[in-house]
Amino acid sequence: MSDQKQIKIGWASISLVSDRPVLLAGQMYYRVSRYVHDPVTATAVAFDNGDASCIMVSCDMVGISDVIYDLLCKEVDGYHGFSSKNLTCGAIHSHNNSRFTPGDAHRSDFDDYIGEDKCLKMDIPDNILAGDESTRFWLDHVSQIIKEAWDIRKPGAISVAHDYASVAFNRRPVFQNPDGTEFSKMYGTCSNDNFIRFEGSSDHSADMLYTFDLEGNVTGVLVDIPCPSQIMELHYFVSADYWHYARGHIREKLGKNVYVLPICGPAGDQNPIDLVRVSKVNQQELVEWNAQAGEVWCNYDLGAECDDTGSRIADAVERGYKKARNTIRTSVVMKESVLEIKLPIRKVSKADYEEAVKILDAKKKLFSPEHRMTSSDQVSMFEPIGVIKRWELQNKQKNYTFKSNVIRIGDAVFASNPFELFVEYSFRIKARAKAQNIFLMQLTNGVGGYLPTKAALAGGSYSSKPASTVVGPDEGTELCEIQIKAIDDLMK
Amino acid sequence: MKNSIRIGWASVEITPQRPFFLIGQMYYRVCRYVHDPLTATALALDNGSDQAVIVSCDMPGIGAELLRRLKEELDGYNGLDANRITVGATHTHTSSTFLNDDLRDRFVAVAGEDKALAMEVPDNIIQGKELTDFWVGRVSQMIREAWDGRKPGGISFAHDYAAVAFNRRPVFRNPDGSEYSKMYGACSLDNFVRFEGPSDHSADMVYTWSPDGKLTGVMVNIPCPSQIMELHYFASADYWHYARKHIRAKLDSNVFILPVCGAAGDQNPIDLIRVSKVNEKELIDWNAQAGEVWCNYDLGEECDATGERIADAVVRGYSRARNEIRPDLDLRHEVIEISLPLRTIEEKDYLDARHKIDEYLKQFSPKHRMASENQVALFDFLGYIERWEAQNKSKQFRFPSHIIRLGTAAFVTVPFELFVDYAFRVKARCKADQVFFQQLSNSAGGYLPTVAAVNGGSYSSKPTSTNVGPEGGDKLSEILISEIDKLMK
Repeated sequence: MSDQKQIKIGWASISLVSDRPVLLAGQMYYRVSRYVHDPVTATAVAFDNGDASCIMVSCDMVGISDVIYDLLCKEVDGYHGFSSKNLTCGAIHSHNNSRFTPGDAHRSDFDDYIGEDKCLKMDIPDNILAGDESTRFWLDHVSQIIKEAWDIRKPGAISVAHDYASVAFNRRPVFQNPDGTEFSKMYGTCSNDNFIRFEGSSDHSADMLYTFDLEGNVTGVLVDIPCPSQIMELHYFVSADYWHYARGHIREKLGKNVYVLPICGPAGDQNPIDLVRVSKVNQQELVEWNAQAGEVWCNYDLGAECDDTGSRIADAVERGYKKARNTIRTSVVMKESVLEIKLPIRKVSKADYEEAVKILDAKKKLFSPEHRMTSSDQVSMFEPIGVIKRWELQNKQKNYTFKSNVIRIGDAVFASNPFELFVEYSFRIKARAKAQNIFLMQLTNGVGGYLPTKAALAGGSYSSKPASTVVGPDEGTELCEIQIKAIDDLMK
Repeated sequence: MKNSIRIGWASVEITPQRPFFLIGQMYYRVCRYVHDPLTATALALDNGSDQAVIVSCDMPGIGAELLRRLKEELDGYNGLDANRITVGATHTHTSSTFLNDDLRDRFVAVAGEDKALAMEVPDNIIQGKELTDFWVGRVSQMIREAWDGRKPGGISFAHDYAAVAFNRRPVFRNPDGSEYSKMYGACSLDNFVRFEGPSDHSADMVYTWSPDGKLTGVMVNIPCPSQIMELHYFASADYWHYARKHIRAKLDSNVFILPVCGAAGDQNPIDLIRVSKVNEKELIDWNAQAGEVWCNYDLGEECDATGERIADAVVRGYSRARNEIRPDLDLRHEVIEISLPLRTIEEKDYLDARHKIDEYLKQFSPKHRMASENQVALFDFLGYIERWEAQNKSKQFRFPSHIIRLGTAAFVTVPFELFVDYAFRVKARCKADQVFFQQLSNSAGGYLPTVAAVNGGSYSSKPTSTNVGPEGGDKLSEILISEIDKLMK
C-alpha cells in the first residue's frame, strides 16, 4: 500500500527552434517555415516520491508520432534509474512546428498512392531540417531536458486547483438540408442561413497542478486546457500559438522563472476560434480554409486572438494559484499504471474500398509528370486514400494498440491517450471516475487520429471519417470504461 | 442616427424589509433572512432622436402585470416614453416576482383550497398589492433618477468570454440503447453519455464614460441564470452580488453595474461534471422539489468564484474598451409584437391529465392535505389542463420584444428562457457585430426548448414548462435576425 511520502520535483525546458527552415506539420498543403514568430519549446517535469516516479513532457508540436516517442523512450530508458515506461510525451497541437519524424520527410501518402511523378513538386530549401536529421535534433533536445529534470529533482511540494477558462469552441456546426436532414461541417460557416446548432459541447475546465519549493515559492505549473493551440495554424512561420502568449501572461502574474507545462486535454471537436463570432466576416475565408489549398488570412488579428486566449488562461491560473497556495502538500501518495490498450480498428467495407480505388484511379489519369496535381487536387484524394489505407490496415491487424499512462499524484490523476478525443468522452471520465482532479492528456505517446462520437459519424465531415480516425464511437466508450477503472484503482 | 449620447444611471435596493415568498422552486419558501441585498439598476440612453431605458432586477422573472404597473406609473414623465423601457431579470431564485405567487394559485385552483398544501405564513409577510406597490415605487423612482440624471458621456463595447454557464441537461442511455435527457441529472451515473447541447461563454459589455473619460458604468451580458443559492430560504442576488463586488474592486467602487441574463434556457451556473460525484443523492432531492437541499459545495465560494470570472472578463474588456470611447451613438429602438405558435396538446392528453389529477386528489381531504411532493407530482398534469384551456382560446403566444441598435451592436429582448442554440443562430447570422440578449424580459414566456430537448424530455422541455416549442424557436430566430438587420442598415 502506498503512503504519503515526500515528493521530489525537477523541471527543465528547452527551445526547439533550429536555425534552419522546417516543414510545418498540420495542414494538407505543404508549408516550409519562413521565419520564427515565437519560440517553440519543450518542457519536462519529474515527480518522484520513492514509491513511484514519472516524467511528463510537453512539446509545442502538432503531435508526437509513435516512432519518435519510441526512440525517445530508448534514449532515456534506464537513465540514472528512470524507467521510460513512466515517460509521457504530449503535444499542444500547434500546427506551426515540425513533426520531427525520421525518413523521407518530403514524401507523403499522396506520393505513395498517386505516384511521385504526378504529385505536387515541393520547393524545398537546401538547408531544410527534416527527416532523420530533424529527429536527431528533437531527440537530443528532449532527452536533455528529461535527464536534466530527473537529475535535479529535489524535495518540493504540490497543490492542485480547478478553475475555468473559455478557450475551446466547438468546431463542428450542424446545418440543415432543404429536406430537413442535417449534416455537420468542421469549420463550417455559422453565418449561413441553414446553420442550426453545434454538434457537441465544450469543456472550459482549467486544471492546474502547482509545484513549490520547500520555502513555499511557486516553481512551476502544469495547466490542462482542453483545446488545441492552433490559432496561427494556416501560416508559414514557427509558433507555439496561444501557449506562447499564455506563458508570458502566467509568468507576469506568478513569476518570470516559473516553469509552465501545457497539457492539451481532450478536444477532438474543439478549436480556439469562436465560429459564432467570426463566421460573418470570414465566410469566404472559411471556405478556403476547408479547401486546404494554401495559406488563408482570416479577418481576425492572430496576435490579438492568441494574446486574449493566453490572458484568459493566465487569469484562470492566477485564480487557481490563490486557492492552491493554501493547500500545499510536501508528502503525497504517488501511484501509476502503464496500460497497453487495444481497441478494434474502425473498418471500411469492401464496397467502400473498391469505390475509393475507382475514384483515385480516375483522378490519377488526369495527371502526368508534365501536368502535375495542385494542392487542391491532392486534397480531394485525402478521403479515398484514407479508405484504401484503412482497407490495407484492417487486412493486416484487427486492433489499434497504444500505451496509456495513468498517474496519481496526491488527489490528482493524469491519464493519457494518443487521440484527438471528442469532449463527450472526457466528460464521462471526469464525471464518473473517483478522483477529484483529473488531468486528461490527449495526443500523448503517439498519434491515434480523431476519436469521434456517434453524432459526428452521423454528421460526417473531416475528423469523423475513416481517413482521419482509427477507432470509432464504440471504442471511445470502451476507452472511457478502461480509464475510469484505471483511475479508480489508483484512488483505492 | 448618430448623435451625441446622453447617459444616466441609477440603482436601488429592492429587498423587502419584511418576510416575503421566495419564487423559483415548486416548494414554498418564505424568506428567513437577507443574505445579500436585492437590487435593481437602470441605464438610460438618449441621443435626441431615440431613447432606451434598460433595467435589470435581481429577480426570478418579470411578470407582464408588473411591467404594466411600472409603465402606468412612468408614462409621459419628463419626455420619457414608457414603451422604451425594457426590464429583465437575473433569474435569481432567492427573490420575489413582486406579484402573487402564481404557482401557489395554480395548485390551489386544481386541488381546491381545502386540499392544497397549508402554509405557515408569518403575520408580517409582505405580499399582494402591498408588495407590488413597493417594487413599482422603488423601480419607478430609480428610472426617473436615471432619466433625469442623463448627461453627455461616452460609450464603448467589448466582447470577451467568461466560463459561467454549464449545460444542465445531461443525456443518459437506457439499457435498450435509447437515450433520454434529465435536467440536473447526475453525470456520475454509469449511463451518462453526454450533454444535450452546448454552452455560450461569451461576455458582452457596454461601458459608459463621463466626458473626462472616467468609467461610470458597465452593462454585462452573461448567458447564465444567477441561481447557485436557489434551493434556500434567504434573499440573495446570487453570483451577481459577488460579481458586482469583484468588478467594483477592480474598476471603481462607484461604478454602476447592469447585469443582463443572456439566452440560457438549458444552462445553469453549476458544473454537473465536477459536482455530480459528490452530490448524487442531493441531485435526486433537488429534482424531487420537496424542500430545501444542501448540496456538497460551498455556496458562497461558488458564487464568489463565478463572480470573479465575470469580473476578470469585464476587466479584460475594459482594457480594450477604454481605447475606443465614442461620444456619439447610432441609437434606434423598435418595440415589436411577436406572435409565435402556442405549443399545443392533444385532447386525449388533457383528458388523461384530468383523470390522473382527479384520481390522485381522492387520497386527500381537509384533514389530510397535500404535502409539497404531492403537489409536485401533479405539476405536469396541471400544465396539460392549463394548456388545453389556453389553446382553446388562442393558438398563438404573443409578447413584446425590444430591438435596440447601439452603434454596431444590437440589444434584443425575449420573455423566454431561451435555449442557447437559438441565440447562437441569431448572433452568428445577423449583421450586428455584437448581440446582447436579454432573456426573461418584460413578461414570462417559459422555456423555449430545442428539438433535441423535446425528444429528450424532462422539465424545461415539456408542455407544462413551455409555451412555445422548437417550431416557434425557429421562427423567433428568423424574426430577430430580420429585425436586427433592418436596424443595422
